[in-house]
Amino acid sequence: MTRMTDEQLVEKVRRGWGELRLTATERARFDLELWEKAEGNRSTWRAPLGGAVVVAGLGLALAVAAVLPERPEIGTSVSRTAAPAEVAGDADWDEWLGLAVPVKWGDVPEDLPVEYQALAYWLGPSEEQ
Amino acid sequence: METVVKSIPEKVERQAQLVELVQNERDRAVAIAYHMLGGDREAALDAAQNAFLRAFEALPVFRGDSSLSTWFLRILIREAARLDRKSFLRERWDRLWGRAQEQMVDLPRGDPEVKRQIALALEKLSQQQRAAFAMVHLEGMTVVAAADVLAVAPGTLKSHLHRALATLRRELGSLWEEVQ
Repeated sequence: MTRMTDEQLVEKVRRGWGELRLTATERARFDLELWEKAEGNRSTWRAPLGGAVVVAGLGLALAVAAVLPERPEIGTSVSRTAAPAEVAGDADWDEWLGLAVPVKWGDVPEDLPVEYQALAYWLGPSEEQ
Repeated sequence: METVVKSIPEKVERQAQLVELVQNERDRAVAIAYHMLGGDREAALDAAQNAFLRAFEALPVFRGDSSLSTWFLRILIREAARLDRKSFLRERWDRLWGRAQEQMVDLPRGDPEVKRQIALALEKLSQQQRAAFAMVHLEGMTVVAAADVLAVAPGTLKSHLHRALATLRRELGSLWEEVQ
């Protein structure tokens, strides 16, 4: 019996296991649920800006992004020097990823126009990135 | 901790970046989570959404040490790992097969027995091995990119892939014999 090659093995797993590819409708539902979850979490984010405005801004930015030409890729420089060891606990990883730090939105004014968010999107990433 | 975000425009900009991130990474995030979570569709969607929410929450303190995409995929892998508890998966799997008749429409196409064997084989991989296998072999990411996501050296990632393939080869050998 011939030995199964790596490629054959991978293909067998791929075909046998199947894939999850979202349809356009499922993508829209995914995004809607995501924004709804974001809205539901706003109290924990302490967002004086207001979850509704944030969600509306994200939606608008999404709409603008759909009609504007593609922006250049965000910088791809990578540094793993600060990464915790593979065996590190959740807390170490969370801190490294910035997940354990309370998010403060206090200095975002409540009257920040939604349109500004779309404009900021169009302007693209800052130089430091 | 150092505060990277210093101005309102930067914060707004990062929110917009997240919108772009969802557009760019949604499909890949769902696909990777699907493979990491034993083919559980709903769990995969939850993991992907939770990862985006956690990224949104943490975006103001994103240090920019890596690309936004790499940073997000790290969060996704962590989120999937949180959901990947053996007892949890076993429970879901048993329930799935216990209700196979009514759940069949949600299952991916293919031989259910083959799928079951592959699922059991994938369960024998460590989370890092499964993540590496899913990113490189099933999603077509480069070894370097996947290594960045897992914060390991490319050589370490190759080792994960090698061990994953060895385990799958051992566990799925019978499937190969059947088609000879």
